[in-house]
Amino acid sequence: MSDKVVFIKDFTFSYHEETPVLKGIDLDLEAGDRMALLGPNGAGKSTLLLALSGFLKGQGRMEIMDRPVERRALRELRQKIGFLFQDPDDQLFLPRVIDNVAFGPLNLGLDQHEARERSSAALRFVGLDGFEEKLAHHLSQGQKRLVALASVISMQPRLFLLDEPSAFLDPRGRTTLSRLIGRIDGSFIVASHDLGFVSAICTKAALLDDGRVVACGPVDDILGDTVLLQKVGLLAEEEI
Amino acid sequence: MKFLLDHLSQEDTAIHRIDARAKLVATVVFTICVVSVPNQRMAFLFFFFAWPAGVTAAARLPLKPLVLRALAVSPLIILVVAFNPFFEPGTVVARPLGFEMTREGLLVSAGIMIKFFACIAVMLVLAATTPFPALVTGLRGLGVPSFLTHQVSFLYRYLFILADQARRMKRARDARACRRLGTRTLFSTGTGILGFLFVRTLDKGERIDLAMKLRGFDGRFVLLQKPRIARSEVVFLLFSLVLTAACTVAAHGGLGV
Repeated sequence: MSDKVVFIKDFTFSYHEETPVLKGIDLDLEAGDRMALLGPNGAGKSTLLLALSGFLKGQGRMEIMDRPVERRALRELRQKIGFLFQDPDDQLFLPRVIDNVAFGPLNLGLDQHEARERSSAALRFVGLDGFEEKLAHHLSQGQKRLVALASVISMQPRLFLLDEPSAFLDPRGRTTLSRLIGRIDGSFIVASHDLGFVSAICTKAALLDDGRVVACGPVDDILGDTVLLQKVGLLAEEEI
Repeated sequence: MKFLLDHLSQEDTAIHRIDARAKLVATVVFTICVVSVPNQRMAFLFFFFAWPAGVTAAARLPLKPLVLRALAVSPLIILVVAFNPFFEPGTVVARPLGFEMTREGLLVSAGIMIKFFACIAVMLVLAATTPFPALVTGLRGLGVPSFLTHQVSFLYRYLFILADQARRMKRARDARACRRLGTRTLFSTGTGILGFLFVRTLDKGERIDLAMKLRGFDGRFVLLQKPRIARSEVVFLLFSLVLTAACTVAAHGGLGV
């Protein structure tokens, strides 16, 4: 068994045949790696995350923990993947906080007591101890984001896929979130165009533009290449 | 965004703390008993108001907003009962615009109205003293299929998001309206907002489906369960059932009244 948590080779995907969204993607992620998936709007970041979760079927090789991402392996794979949605309201689909956090553990087959314990522990971890009985629509945007993160943590996944985790957060919320993510064990792929946020939590970065990986390497090297960032539209000229 | 009943249901009184299953059973039995009373004995229907009134007082609920909400839903029932006095055969008591109005018809209309308000009162009391998630858990505990309770949960959860979205879109429209909007403009932008909300609902539904599958959902709903019913719930339920039964027996003439 290799150390590779994610292995993608020559992966192509298109919603419509004539316009591929992902074009020959090659990416590796090793255990413990935290990779930023950078790119402007429409670069294919969210599409790649959905493909990794098995929702989109493309051409080429895509493996997670040595298992190909295919229909018959999805149930097993999704026990190992934690997906944080861009909009926390998509993730918190039940009224009570505790029901949202316990939804995953219960579907993993945990008994009532264990699921409740694990959910309370996840809420404690994100600093929302005592929020179990609160209603999701009474929470602030930052609190919703933390509950959504708790709902992922409670499943104890090994690979975290975070889609624009810092969206809608104020500076304090972003700092809180980056600190929490820093304390979680596991491998991460963080799709974002928030350069400050990913530099705080990631060690590697892959830069996507128009469905292709145009650069991949240590996060500091990628973020230091201002010409490249400007070329793909992640930096405005006046920011250099 | 907060709704009044949602806000009231978050209070912490002895009534609020009672398990939703006990309140649901009491409410259903109350409704069936009220409906079973013959319209001819409608004077006895007023006894039934003792239960919602008592619970309202014990739960320290504000009376005026609850009455206003009951009145807000009354036009529908008024429309239903408005024709009874003219179609029910019996003794003619008046002839407005040449149409015959009967005493029996008026009694039927009044009976239906009183029953309606008694049922609405008990429903409002239930909604104002029980947080919605507890109600859904209670329904599930009483054997309502989980796919139904989940639909209701989703509806409740996303109602607030859609209402908030609609409010923001209305503000955006009003912010760009430099003059008073005409009926035609209001109608056309209103239908546009509704259409957009519909599309958003579909979009949201798809993403919720993804979110559920990603957390292992395979079509079977499993949720945390509520603990067993305690003594306070049994006392509440017994008291409610005895009171409702007494009113029903009296209304059916069982006490020889």
